[in-house]
Amino acid sequence: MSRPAPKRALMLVGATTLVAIALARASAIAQPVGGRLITVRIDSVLAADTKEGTDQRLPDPIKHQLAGLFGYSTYRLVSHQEITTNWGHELDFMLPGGRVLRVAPQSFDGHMVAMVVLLFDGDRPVMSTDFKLENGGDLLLGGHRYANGMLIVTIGVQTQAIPNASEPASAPPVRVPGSSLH
Amino acid sequence: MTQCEQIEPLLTGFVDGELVPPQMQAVARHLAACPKCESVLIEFSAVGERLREVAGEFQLEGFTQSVMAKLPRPTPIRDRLRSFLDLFNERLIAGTALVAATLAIGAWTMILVTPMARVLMARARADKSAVVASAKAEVHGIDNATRVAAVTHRSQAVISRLESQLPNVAVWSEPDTEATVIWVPDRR
Repeated sequence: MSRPAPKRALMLVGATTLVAIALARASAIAQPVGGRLITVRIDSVLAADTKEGTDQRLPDPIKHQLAGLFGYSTYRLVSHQEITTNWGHELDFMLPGGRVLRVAPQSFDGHMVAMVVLLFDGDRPVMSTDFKLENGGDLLLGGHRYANGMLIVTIGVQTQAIPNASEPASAPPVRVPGSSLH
Repeated sequence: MTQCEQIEPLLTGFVDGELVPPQMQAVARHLAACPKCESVLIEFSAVGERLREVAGEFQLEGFTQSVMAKLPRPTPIRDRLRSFLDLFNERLIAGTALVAATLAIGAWTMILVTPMARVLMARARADKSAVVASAKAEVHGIDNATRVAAVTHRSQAVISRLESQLPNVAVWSEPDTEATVIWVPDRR
């Protein structure tokens, strides 16, 4: 038995609306943000038990996090790298000790930045992860032995509006020079 | 056996009128002709009268009331209910105290004796640093554990996927500093 025509039309409209809402939501989640640049900041910190205290060059939030998370007596900033780019680029950072960190910012939902991060040991990938990071927040990556201690890498992101946002952003990655702090 | 010897056992029954008619007739015919048995009969009758005088009639009037007066009186329902509740309260308090004591003893036994409790307590202590996942060798994906950690503890990062070929990759978050750490140790 076929349903009455008005009821079928109503169901069709409802289903179409639901699909449209789902597509719009998925699009809003996945769409890279135009009109904004992203700065990825990588700080490599040597953590050791040499009782030298905390490097004053480290940002205060990072000092606080390191002190709250680990029990080392020394935190020394070994390198600072920063790249500002637009969305869709893969950014490679050479870490002290030879590992390479590849960061690929994916999207920004107004509050958090979605990104893919790969860690290479030589040519071999040792870790791959997808995560969202608060705009202006940090994620810590550690575990690699370096010098007389442990290397702890902070991955920070900060988005910023492009001054003339009407033009599509197409800036190539800009690396901050002189990042080695030995 | 003489006729008097046959009649004499029947005399008490004759006095009380308990003999069957032929016996009554035989005893009466004999008594009329035998002064000895008649004197015995008179003696029986006199003894019977004296016994009745001594015994008198048993008084049943007021018997029921006197017996009932000596029985314990039924308790009113209100008193019975109150006594039941008192008993219940006593048992409830005693039962509660017993259960509490048992639980306390059980908890102390578990804490002091069982290794599992020590593990649980250690886990609870470690919850602050919230080590939530550790990838095993050839592990692919600790997605759920990581996501739970990042949601449960306020953190700046939400990890949706993590894969590694290394055996001891760990992820944890620290609520106090809102920091999330991925620990990727060197291959040993």
